Amino acid sequence: MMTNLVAKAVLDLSILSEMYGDDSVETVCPVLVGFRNEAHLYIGQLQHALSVLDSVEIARLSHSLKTMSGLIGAGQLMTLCQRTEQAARQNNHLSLKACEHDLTLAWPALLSQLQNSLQQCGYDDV
Amino acid sequence: MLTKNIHILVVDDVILMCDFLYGVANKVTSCRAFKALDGKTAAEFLENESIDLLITDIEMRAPSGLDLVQRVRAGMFSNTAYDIPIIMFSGNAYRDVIEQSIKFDINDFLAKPITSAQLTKKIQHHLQHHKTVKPVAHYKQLMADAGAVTTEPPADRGFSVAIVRELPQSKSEDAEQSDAGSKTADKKDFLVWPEGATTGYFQLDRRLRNFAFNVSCFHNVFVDNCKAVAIESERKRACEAADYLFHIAKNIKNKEQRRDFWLLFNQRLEKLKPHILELNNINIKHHSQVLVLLKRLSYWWMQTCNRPIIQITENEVEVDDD
Repeated sequence: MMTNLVAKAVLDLSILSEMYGDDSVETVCPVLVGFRNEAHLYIGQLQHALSVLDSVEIARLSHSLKTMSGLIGAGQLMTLCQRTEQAARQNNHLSLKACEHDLTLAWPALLSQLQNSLQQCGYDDV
Repeated sequence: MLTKNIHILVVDDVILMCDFLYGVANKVTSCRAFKALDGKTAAEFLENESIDLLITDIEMRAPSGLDLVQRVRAGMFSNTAYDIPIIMFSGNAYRDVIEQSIKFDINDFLAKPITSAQLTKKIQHHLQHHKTVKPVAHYKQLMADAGAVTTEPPADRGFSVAIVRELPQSKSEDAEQSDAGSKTADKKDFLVWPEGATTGYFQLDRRLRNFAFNVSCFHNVFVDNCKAVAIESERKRACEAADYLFHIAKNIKNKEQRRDFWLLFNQRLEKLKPHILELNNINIKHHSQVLVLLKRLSYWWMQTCNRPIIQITENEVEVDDD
């Protein structure tokens, strides 16, 4: 399943710049930090919801995460969230289990890229 | 229009998205943005500030974006005009939500993600191009219709009950069939009293019905824009009916041993008390506030009516309620 996601970039900062209309460090860094902190909470809740197969919560959380990921150019996570939300709305437990597995790979990969980008920006708090 | 100070309210429960919308809106010429992470905070802004444009996400915990839109169009906020431009956002453009939004004449429906440049253009466009919307009464009616639909319980809904009363099985199949209609009706009745119930229970029943009748009279007089004296008189009757209900309930409770019944029934009465207090104190001239209160009373009544406190099941042996 993860192979479907590979086509998308883990983190494409050009999308973030286009979204915000600004590619300055002053804009990009706070956005990435904001995303990392908020997404971390959502990921934790989503993993719990996936473990207990709470479809309503899964749909809600993956929907919000999808929006956030799209805003900063986290393509892989966005695609995964889109798939997760769809599976939750269809109550497709098999697909949700696959998504749960993919999330354990996609999130650390994105986290790593985020930290690299923040370090390149000279952002201390990584 | 861009020469004056324009207030834009952005609502989204995702902090990152809310900050993004806020940042974009704040940069639009002559605009000052307010941000809210939930519908409740948004409602407070709409009530206290004169908002000129609303940008809201749809999918939020209650009140949702659609709830906010309905309340704006129904003129329920003191400081915000009912005909302001409204832009709705969602990553999912579900057809039923779009249809609902269209009914309330939102100005634009945007799918996420959207760039800051696109959003800026949209904001400027909607501030410069006024869209004519229908009168407030039209949206109020739509809201009332929507409320009637949402409060209707689903057919297969499970009831929460405090006491289960098991009835003896009927003597013959034929008799069972002939009684089937009336039994079904009995099960749907509001508050099925225990067998051998004292007159107190029936008095409680009468007080409930009397209260519903008086609130209904108050509602009718109010929406018909009758004279203030008539409205005040109906208000007084409705409050008195509620007082009688509380009084009777308290008296019977003190004489009764059915703890489970009273636990549930008291919970429901407690929820009614703040509404009655508000009914007693509300300024009748504040039309929108009175309508909101009437809706709350209606919800309370529907919730109470649709959940019987005593459920009848059909088993062979009759079991004592206590």
